Amino acid sequence: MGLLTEGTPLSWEETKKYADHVRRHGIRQFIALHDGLKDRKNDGLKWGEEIEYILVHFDDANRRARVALRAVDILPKLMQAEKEAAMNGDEHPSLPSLWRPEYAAYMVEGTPGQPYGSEPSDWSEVEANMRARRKEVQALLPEGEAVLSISAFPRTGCSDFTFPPSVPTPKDGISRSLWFPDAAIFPDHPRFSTLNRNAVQRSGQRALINLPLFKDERTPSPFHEDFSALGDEGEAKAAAKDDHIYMDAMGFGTGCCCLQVTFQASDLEEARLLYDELLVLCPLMLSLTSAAPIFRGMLSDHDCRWEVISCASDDRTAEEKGLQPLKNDRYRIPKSRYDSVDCYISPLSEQYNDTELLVDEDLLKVMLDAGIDRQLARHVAHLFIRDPLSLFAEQVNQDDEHGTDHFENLQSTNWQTMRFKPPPPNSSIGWRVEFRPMETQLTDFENAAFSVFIVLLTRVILTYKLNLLIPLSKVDENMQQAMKRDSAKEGRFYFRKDILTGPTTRPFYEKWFGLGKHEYTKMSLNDIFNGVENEFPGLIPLVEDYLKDLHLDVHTSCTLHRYLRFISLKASGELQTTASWMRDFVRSHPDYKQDSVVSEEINYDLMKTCQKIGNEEIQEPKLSTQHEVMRKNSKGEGVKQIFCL
Amino acid sequence: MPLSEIIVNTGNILNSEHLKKRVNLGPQEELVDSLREALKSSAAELKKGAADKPDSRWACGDTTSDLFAEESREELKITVKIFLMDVTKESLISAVNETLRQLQVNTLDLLLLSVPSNNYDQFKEVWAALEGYAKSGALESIGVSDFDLAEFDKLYEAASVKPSVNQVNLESCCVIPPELSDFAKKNNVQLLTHNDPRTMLEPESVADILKSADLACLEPETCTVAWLVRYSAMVKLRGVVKSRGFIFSIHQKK
Repeated sequence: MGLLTEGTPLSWEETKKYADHVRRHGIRQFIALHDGLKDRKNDGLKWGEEIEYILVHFDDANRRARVALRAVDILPKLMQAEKEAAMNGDEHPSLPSLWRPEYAAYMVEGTPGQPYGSEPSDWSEVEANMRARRKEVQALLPEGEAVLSISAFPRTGCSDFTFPPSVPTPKDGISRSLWFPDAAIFPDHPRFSTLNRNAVQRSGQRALINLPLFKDERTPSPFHEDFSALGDEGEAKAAAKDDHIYMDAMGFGTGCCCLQVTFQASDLEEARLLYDELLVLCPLMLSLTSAAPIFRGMLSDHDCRWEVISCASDDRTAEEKGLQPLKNDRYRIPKSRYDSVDCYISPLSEQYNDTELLVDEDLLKVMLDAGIDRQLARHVAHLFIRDPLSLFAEQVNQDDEHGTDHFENLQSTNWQTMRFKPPPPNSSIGWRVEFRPMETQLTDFENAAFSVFIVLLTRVILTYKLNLLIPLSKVDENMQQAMKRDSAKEGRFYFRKDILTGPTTRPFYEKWFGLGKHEYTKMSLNDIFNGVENEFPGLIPLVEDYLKDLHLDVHTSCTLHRYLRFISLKASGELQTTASWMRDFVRSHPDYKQDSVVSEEINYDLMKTCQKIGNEEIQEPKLSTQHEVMRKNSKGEGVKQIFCL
Repeated sequence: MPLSEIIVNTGNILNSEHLKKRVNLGPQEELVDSLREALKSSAAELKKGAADKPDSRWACGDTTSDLFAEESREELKITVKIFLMDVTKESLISAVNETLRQLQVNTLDLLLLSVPSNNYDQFKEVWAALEGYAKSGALESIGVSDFDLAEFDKLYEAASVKPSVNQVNLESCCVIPPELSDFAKKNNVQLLTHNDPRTMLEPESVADILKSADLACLEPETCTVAWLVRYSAMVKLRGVVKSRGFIFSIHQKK
């Protein structure tokens, strides 16, 4: 979503001039926020999810699927009710859903109108809310267009991939891409084009993405593309790597969709604890939900969007990337501003921060002097090494005691696997944590299952005081594993062996000798989620144990257990990931030539199938257990019953 | 010399030491394991009790309640299930009173009754006793476990304080008979799930627990379990479970 304040965006040069101003005032705003709200206690559980959707245009006569640049038309209608309520002075209207634009002109983002609560019966309503949102968008689309919850449109960037047609403008405009047209950027809010333009100007080059290509039997080896016919004057040639899918626009990444879950913690301490415990789960959930194995019409060797969106949003200069010696820039920065988290933030986790954390030392000092504890201060000082990427003229001067736009400016343009969210000023909302790595699944059942599962895990962490912490360097290694093709089934991830004994302080010297090597080991997702008899409890059995004391009503019980069963089977590999299913679909398609290419034909059939699965017109038992329930009859025999919602 | 009645409280079994052993244990194994532990750790106390004051009631095990360490009573939802083996008014009263005492509370939010026979005539005295507690405000709501529609209907008709809950087994939660769910809807009865077996404590398990506790004062052949209670406390606004434990009562036959 990001900061959607309205206003007049400044040029990059002007924005750059204000960088220090934004940072200094942003820190002051954070200090004011923290001071005012650090003692807030006893906030109940409230949570919500966000789903991004892609709008697809189907030309059935010619068997073509294209992205529909339709967001400008439907968003005003989707946002109408909210706008009217605001005009009538109702800041918190009671609406079923809320809608926001996203980067691409073919995307929309929806959330529930009100947060879900702490009652388990609320959690069995998530799916219905999601289903209603899908219907809401679909109703506004013309005949032949559909809303899909897919992670990425497979032929983004291919010739003639938009409807209405549009052409890329490599020589000017915002993206300056060989493939991604500016018309595909959402035009009605300045944020997206401004971010894009400024990132390009800041880094001094177009986005640079090299995604490993999946080499099939007849894929040319080495795989090498000639971009001169597209108008490349050498930049693409220099940037592209052999055997990779080269992409050169922010839109390839930010035009992807994800599933995010945000929840309120009872206080600051609990928010920090949950942030830390959940960040360990990010790579695992990314792997389990992976749904983006195709980019620019080619099968990739990754199953998810992460690498693409990380590189797509990378505004680092060559100096910052370490490709040139530091002269004009302040730091050598190891990661893109869109990437996984760089530090744990609660006191007992400090011992697991074994990677070097780059911080703005001056801003760190300001926070420490103001009484903010070291870990939290370092977390914020790390976010603030970045420049603001967009600034509106009206925003420049603010009242730091009451405004938070400068803080939010940098907070919302650090896109990490987790986000730690202080309460907004003057509101009833508390300290919150956002879980950001998951990819959207094709159906509302699956999206609901994953969202609810995350919330259930947080309750289990708090109930049993679980400790999932491992050195952060191992979490980073897990991220690298998670992105790879078939990681959900084949991957092995570092995970803590004993999650039931709480955290204890380690001897200081362990940091040098290999932090707690005996504490963690490599496990499969099946082991982690389903457990190993007599060795490891498994996350799902712990959730099931927890549910016993909730005394659930039958509907909620049925729903939650179905979700757990679904996730259990995903983790064991009995259900495929969406990515794996899409790969199989492509490779077994009659038009596929074993050359990694996803043709128009294949894309059309794939998108049509995804649409029908999403609408629940057809079922795909390899992907989901939505329509099957195994129950034992009175003789103890397993009986398949079709469960109707 | 034998004691007449011993109340054993396992205390909160959600702490990590317990959890490590019992995760993935079925409900019966969890129970037996917890009770055995509780008796073992009270062995010294019990031996002394048998010597000092025979013929009396003793409570042992973890009798400290940590329920209100961080939350107030209003913030917690306390649910109790009584497995009544000795289906008498006296045992029911003992179970409720002892639970209130052990948990150090005056009220319970939900009390569920499980009896060996769901035939109303067999337990109507017990139900009347429960109604007494409900009317006095000690029990916010009362319910039963594993009643079929006919059994529940009979109870519902006869009761002056209506049961507001019927527990159904988890195995069948996706295939509730429509008549039962219609009845529940019409009469504002909640159908809640559980996965307890019908008999939580087999006589062999009781003997087993007592033998392994190795207490001369408790000769297994002369002991019976009158009732067994499972309690749990949940923080309502956060969905976090604070406590889960068992209390059971062993009678010595004279």
